[in-house]
Amino acid sequence: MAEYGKEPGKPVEELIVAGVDIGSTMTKVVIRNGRTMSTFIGPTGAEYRTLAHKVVEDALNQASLGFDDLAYVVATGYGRMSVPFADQQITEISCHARGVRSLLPTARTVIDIGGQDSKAIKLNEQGRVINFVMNDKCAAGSGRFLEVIAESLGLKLEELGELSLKGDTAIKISSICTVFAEQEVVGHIADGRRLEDVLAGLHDSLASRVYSMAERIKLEPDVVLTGGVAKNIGIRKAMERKLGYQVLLPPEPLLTGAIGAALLAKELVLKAIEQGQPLKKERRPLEAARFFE
Amino acid sequence: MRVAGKGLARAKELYEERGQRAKELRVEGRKVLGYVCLFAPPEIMHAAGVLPYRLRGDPREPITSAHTYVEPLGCPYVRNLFDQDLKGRNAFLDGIVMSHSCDMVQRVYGIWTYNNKPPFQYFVNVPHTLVPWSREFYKRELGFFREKMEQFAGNQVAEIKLKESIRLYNRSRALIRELYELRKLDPPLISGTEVLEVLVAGMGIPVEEFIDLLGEVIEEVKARDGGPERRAARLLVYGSVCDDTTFVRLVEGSGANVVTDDTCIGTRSFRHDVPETADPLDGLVDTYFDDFMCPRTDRGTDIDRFQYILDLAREYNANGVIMYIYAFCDPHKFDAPDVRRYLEQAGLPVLIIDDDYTMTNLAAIRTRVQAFAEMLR
Amino acid sequence: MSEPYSEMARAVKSTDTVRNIKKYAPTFYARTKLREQEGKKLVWTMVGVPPELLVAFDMVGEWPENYGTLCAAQLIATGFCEEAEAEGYANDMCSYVRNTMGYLRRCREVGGVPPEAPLGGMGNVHLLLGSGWVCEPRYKWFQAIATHYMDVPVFNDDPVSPAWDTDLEDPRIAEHYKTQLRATLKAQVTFLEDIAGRGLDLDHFRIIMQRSHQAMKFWHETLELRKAVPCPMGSEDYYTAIIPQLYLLGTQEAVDFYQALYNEIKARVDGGQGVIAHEKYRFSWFGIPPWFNLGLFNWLESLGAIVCVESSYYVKKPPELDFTDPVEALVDWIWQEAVERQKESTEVLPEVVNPGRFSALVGSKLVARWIEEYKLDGAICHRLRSCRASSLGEVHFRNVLAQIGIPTLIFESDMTDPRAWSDAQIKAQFREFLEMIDASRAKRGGRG
Repeated sequence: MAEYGKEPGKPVEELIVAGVDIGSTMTKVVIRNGRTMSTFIGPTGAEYRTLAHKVVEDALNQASLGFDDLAYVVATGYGRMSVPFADQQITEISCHARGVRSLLPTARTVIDIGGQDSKAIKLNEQGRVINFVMNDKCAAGSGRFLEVIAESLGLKLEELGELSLKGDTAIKISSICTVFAEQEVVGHIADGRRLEDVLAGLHDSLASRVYSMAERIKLEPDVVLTGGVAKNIGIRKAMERKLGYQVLLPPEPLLTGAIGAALLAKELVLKAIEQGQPLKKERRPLEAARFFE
Repeated sequence: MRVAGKGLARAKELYEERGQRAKELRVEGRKVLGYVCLFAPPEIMHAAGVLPYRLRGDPREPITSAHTYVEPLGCPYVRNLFDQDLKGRNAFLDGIVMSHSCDMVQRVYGIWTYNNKPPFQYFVNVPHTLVPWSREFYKRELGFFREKMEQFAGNQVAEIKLKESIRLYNRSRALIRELYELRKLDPPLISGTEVLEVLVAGMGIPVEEFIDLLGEVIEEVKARDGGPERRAARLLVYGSVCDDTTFVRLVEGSGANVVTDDTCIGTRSFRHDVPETADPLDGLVDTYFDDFMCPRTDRGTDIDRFQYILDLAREYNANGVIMYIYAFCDPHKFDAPDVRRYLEQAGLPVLIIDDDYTMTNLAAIRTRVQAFAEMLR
Repeated sequence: MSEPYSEMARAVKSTDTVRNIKKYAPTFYARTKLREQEGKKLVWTMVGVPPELLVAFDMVGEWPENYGTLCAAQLIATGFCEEAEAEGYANDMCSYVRNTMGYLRRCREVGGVPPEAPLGGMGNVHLLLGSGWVCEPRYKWFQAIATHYMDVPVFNDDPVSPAWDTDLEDPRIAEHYKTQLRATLKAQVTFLEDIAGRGLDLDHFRIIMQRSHQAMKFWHETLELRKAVPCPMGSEDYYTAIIPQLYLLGTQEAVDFYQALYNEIKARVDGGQGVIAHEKYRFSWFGIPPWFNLGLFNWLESLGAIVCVESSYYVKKPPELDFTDPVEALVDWIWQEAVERQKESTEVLPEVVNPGRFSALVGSKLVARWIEEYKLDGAICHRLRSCRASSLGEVHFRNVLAQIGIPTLIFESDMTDPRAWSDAQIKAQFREFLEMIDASRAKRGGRG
């Protein structure tokens, strides 16, 4: 086990750490090498997360590093418990909060809309998590909702948001369940309604669902939107209408969790050095995910 | 009778074997009645010479048989109990006793006894408001229950016998409180998982044996090395009925210690002794109607009615509260926003977990609990 | 048959009396204006509380449940439900409750009545008069309003209902329950006396009770007339015609309305006139209807299907009563009906003691009897996602009816939360159900 900072000629500043955020669809890797940061995003591998370690490999290759160069690896996200190559697992709540705190320090609330779930995190002035809430296991409050609709309309997921902005009058989508909402959307289209209007209603519907989940912890500005769905302009605008003020966006909303994980990895190493205690490392080789749940 | 272990080992064995001891006693001629909720006081059954056996659900077993008789949109715990019954798990019982803990229980009682008639059935009714006439109603109801138990067991429940049973149950309450004392330390000397095993074990054996078991456990825990590790997160678990250790074990495996609770099989049932009143039914009414802190009872509108939770948390040095609430549990869900607000205003962070009793959404629950523990670091 | 893709639809009523209900029941429909003019104390109350008491104390009522149906019909309920969920009220909780909690949250937010609220809102409430009948959400609801949003006095009655196997023939047991019923009603009277600052005028109350009795007799007789083939009145009228029964009992308006309705329905039966000329299917209906889509009943009628009897809000024939002591007459009325209901086998309907004197579900023996009396082809159960009181027991009905060869359709939606509605799916289920009945008829060779 490498004990950083204690080896001669390896100053603390040159620590190399990684944060790996294994989401339901994408794996995001951030490697911090001293002050420089390299990032990599790749598919997780359907439901079985078999490709997560590949993404880490690609990220290391890109940074011209080997797995053993990493002093510490923190895994987070939906699939964090099933990757064997991390030293520690930290929840996406803590990691998103840490990431946002460094990127957008004025944030008091983080709303993350991912592929499989969504969550809201409340931060105090120091950026510490003071409350959070996550949605139930229901696709209707997540990116999955948009994916399903895009698929059934034969549209690209990326174009939904822009199209929805062209709607004049949003058509209310009343069903709460993704499957029913899909039928409702198809029904409206078959009934000759404008696609843009239907999409506008659809984005409103997702935004209000996420809003009523997030508001349970009392939203406070600044609100930061993260996760893949944050890139969807339609959702962003619908969310802003609901809130009555603008939301902030990190440069790459997908990476917030991985950035936070890398920062936490570095902090854990530094803290261990400071306390003169060896750091608990549970890492195994860089290999595919195990399945124990 | 085979006794493999003592103390915690014995408790674990009783917990896992589900009704083994009750079955043994039944073979020896003891009458055994399954009950669902404490509004049918076990003291009365005990005084009649009956062994009260608290029915248990099994979260590891999905509901299958009960779907034939009752819709999925209702309390998952009671439906699970009914499902267990349909699967023959209660075949060793002489009958069941249920009570109006909530509407769900009374409805399922009807469907249950209509479709899978037990050899003996009885229902203890309970009003909702803490007013004199409702207390009187409940007292009369307990009187009828006593008569019914006399007929069922063929034993008279003389006042002196009932008073003796109350004293015995109070003795067990005092010992549980003593056991809980050991959770106030940091780290606690005993885990929440172990405590729950002891309490659930105690619900299926005669109170006399439970008293012995508690004595052994207390002695063992005080003397042992290697209790729970110190954790930054010391939690109070709030909820209705937690009769299985899966959830508490998950919490304790996620970087937190569970140091106390406000649940049915927990502080709600032993925090107050039954007062030894001239008419023993008066004492039972005091404890089971007035003092039993289930939100199904109307305690008025003052938000200070939740102060007892805060007191509990402070007494056990808890720094966070997990509200573990089952789907469709109206009594708890109506209070939840106000309980949360009250505790948060007092500086206690709260996490609400909405579950269907079987923890099918295990990964998601674990993430929330871990994040909560990380937050309290 | 091609139909346009439909959204929620309001019902088109069949009878003149129901269509003109606003004329018959002006105090109910003009209540928001009246309460402004008269400056009386406004009571939020709920069904299950005897409406006669409000009449006796000359108090103005508002019914958040009814307001929920209104918000549902105008599709405003979605927004209120979401607001309630944002406040922490779980989405499996009663949608009447969520609608109210969301409305109150919006009131707090805008510091007054929110612009989207129908009828100019629910007014400034002075007291909450709740009922513990049928479900815990009902008394927890007003308790939570007073804890969470506003500090106003609350009274919840506490009528305890026996289990289905309780022996009510045992006079000790009967007296035990009746004592509780009497005590809780008297406490309700005392609470209102304190608020009103005057005692209950027994002579006046006697008249009120007699009017109420008269109205309920007409109403019950009307429901009996629906046994006729073709059926003279369907659910689209029934679910509006219940308004006086729920909110205006004790007024002359209620008597007049039900008398007029009885006369109209009687004339239809005598003339052999039905809601639809060629009935192909006759059904009973269980559960609260989807208030946001009562047009469903018209749609069913377009397929030749008529609902002849409903479990929700069903009223029995009122017993003969001695009105000398009108409070005791009320106790007797409630109790005698409870005993009747219990005889109808209430294994899934324990809540027989209803101070409002109507049903939520009904006993399974009555369900079976309706099949004969109303000449039904099947039963339709609306499983409500957010209401256990009205839904839990429908599977049991299905089992009971299956034993006598009667098919049951259970479909899932909600009473007030339109987000639970899936038009295409639900209508497909109904069509399949009708086809199944056709198929089994063809097998048996001809109808029924």
